[in-house]
Amino acid sequence: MSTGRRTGIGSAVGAIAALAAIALAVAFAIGAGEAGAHQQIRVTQIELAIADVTVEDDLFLTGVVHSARRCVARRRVRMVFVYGDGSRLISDRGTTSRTGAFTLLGAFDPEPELIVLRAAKKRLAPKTKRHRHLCGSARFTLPVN
Amino acid sequence: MKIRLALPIALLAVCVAATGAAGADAHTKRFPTTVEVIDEDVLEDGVTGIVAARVRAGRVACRANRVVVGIGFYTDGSRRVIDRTRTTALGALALTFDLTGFDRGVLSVPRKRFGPRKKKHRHVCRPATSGGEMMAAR
Repeated sequence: MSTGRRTGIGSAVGAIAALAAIALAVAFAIGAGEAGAHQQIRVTQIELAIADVTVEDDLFLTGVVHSARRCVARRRVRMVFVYGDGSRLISDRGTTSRTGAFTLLGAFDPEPELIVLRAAKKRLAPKTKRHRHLCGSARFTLPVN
Repeated sequence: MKIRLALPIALLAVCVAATGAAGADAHTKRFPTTVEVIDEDVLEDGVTGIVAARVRAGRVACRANRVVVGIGFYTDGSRRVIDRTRTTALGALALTFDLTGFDRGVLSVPRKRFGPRKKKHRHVCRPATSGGEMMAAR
């Protein structure tokens, strides 16, 4: 007899708890959306300054990374050779200087169809995922002919 | 009698220890390094110079990831660090610098230690300096 009464109280409490949980979840979702807007991304561009061949027939490309002050130094850069059959080869990789300068080397054997210079994205402080400052990646494509 | 014997024995022990130390020190391998400027130019803004260079050495470890410091000599007689970088996997590097008042520059590559962690068995890439011709012939 008393079982039915207890069930009624239980269901009411359960319903209230469920409503509270939903409200909490919605509040968190809205909060996360607003916090996500704090992430800042700085645009990066690559300027090619010198493209030449060394005395040993190695291609070298020298350039500068242009971006915000703290997005210039120690950026990871790589030179990728794209061949006619679609295959790719990372010929050289390194980091930029304090002022954003870099040189990458590559051997023309076999000759690629396309050369791609790429600066990878860089993560800055703060480390909190929603508040991260980012330096965007950049790409510079150079046809061989 | 005992003192007469002790002195030569002590001297002999010192000599043996010194020989052993010299022999152990010989395990440190040193690799010569050179750095050469391969090209230099001025950026589109007209006031920033850029220089491309290459580090050469017999070992891959002595070419890759070497610290390179550019030192600029200015017309007013001062000397400053213009830029600092590390070489790529193949030993290439580039530096940029402001051309106002710039007279000439050199590239300095400090030594690098690698290999076994035991002090007497370390491998050492020797330091190198480029000639003072960087951007001098402008």
